[in-house]
Amino acid sequence: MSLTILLIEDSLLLRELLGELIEGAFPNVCIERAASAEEGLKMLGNGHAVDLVLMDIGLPGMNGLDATRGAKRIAPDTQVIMLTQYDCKEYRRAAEQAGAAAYVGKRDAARVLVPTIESVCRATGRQL
Amino acid sequence: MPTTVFIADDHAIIRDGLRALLEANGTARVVGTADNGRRAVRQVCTLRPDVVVLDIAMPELNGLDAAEQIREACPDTQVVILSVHGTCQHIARALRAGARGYLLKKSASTEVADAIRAVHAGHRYLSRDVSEICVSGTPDKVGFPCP
Repeated sequence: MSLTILLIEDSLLLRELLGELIEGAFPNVCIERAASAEEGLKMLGNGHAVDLVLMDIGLPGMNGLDATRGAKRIAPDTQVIMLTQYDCKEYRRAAEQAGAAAYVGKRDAARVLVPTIESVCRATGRQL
Repeated sequence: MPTTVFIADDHAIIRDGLRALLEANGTARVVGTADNGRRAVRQVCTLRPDVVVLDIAMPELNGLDAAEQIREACPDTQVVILSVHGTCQHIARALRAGARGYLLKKSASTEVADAIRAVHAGHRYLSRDVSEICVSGTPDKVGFPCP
């Protein structure tokens, strides 16, 4: 069965470009998209089977840290990779405390995101 | 002949992703990219593309100052700002700097293509949300007060 990744990002352009990047690297992966934390959590709450969430930290409304805590409550096995504009120690720690498995600065996403997805999937026994 | 475009953004995902999308749909030929404003000014002045797409928040030189320098040194190159910043101040400053297009990163890539085509054809292009901010003076989520 193919892996499902939920991309929660309020920038439509980044949703498109990140989606292209992931589809290019993992053609068998199914990508779901949400423009806000609320929309993403609703999808998880409605029983969407999601293996991995790529979560923007700076979302309008509920922020990515609270959304990560929410996602882990709804679907504890779902892994979260935090995406952020601000690559600093404090945010990394906050993301980890919220339950994120990894943290990727958007500036480096083109280079780092694919290997990070591979590493999180490997660590949790998921087949890409 | 496709429009020649230069992309300056400190996020590689935007530079590489936009290049791929614009070239795939035949909108543009991307002649170069840069990850900071200073490099963008230098390369744009050498390459002289039809259109340069500039982010605002970039290291070394921000996109608004870069826009001003590019318009002064290469008046034939049209500037489109593509940014997360949607405040009255940023938009007004960009237009004063000579930008002909302004859109937010929440726009779709098709809108970026529309903006490139429009400014190359000599028109101004403001995305719908940018126009609304200009007209209503509504501050964006960052909460900057408008003049």
